[in-house]
Amino acid sequence: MWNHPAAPGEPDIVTQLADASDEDLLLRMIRGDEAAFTVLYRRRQGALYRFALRMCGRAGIAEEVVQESFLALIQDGGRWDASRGTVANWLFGVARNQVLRCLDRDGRYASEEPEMEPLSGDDVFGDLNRAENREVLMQSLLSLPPHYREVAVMCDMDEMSYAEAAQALGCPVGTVRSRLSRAREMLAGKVRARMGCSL
Amino acid sequence: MNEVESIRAALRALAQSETGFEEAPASVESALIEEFRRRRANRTGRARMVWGTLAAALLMFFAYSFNRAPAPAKPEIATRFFALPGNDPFERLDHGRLVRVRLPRSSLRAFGLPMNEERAFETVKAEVVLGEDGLVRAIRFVQ
Repeated sequence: MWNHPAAPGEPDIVTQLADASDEDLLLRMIRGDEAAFTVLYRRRQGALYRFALRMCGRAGIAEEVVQESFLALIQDGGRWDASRGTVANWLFGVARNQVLRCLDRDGRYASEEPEMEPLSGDDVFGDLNRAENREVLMQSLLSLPPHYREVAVMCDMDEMSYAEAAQALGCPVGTVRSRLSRAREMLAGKVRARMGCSL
Repeated sequence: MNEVESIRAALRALAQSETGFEEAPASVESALIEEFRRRRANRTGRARMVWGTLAAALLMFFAYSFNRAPAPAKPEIATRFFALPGNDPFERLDHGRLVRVRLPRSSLRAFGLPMNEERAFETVKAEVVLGEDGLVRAIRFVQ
């Protein structure tokens, strides 16, 4: 899910680099290879954009996060240390910091509790998989405190492993595991409250 | 399926419903590539400036080292001419010659000049005036 397909008709050099590892692309990029930067950007921007969008719920902020994250890569890519994780996780870490900065700037740490129409029936959590109820789930997710929201987004939505999430967040795996458990519980409580149902 | 598992499954379903559709607009890529080119150009320009400055500094250094003019000679100080005993100091010389020689420092004493006794073993520069007959007429000491 992290790979972005190469666009048709793009220059040959971009196509040739499609199989290169992120690390090779970064090294080439640092030496001034524009094609390597283009390939790395296309490969990773989607995941970063979706992560930011799920964290903030606003496309404008998600675009800003992607832009700032790759600007950081252009500027500080030379500081990437292989012993501290992959390029992808480094990018996620940068994006995560950008998201928190944007949330802080926009004062969106406060939980938002929009009015929702109560669902009929008792199978509240079964109904969540229906398209019309995904907005309930998304709003509930956005109302979680950021450090719970980010583990839910990374592990449950982006399917990152605990180790990958821990690298991106800069915390121990055990912390990711406990935060994720707590995030799911909180999310279940919020969904239940939003739907006006008790199980 | 309990609540937590349902939430997890719902989140995954939500993510899958978005995958492939949610991406940054093309304008972000264009802006970033523009920035990448700008920084690369700046970096190349800076590198050229640094190498240019270094090259200029090296050229100046070598030019200075190899083409440096000899240091100007220190001006010499000379005593007056002392006539040697047996010679008329006012005798006119039409074809005399001036010859630079080195003499023992102790010869200074013979003409009443001060001398450092500790350096008596050294030599001093002197200029002697030779007459047409090749005999020394006068002498002066040079420092």
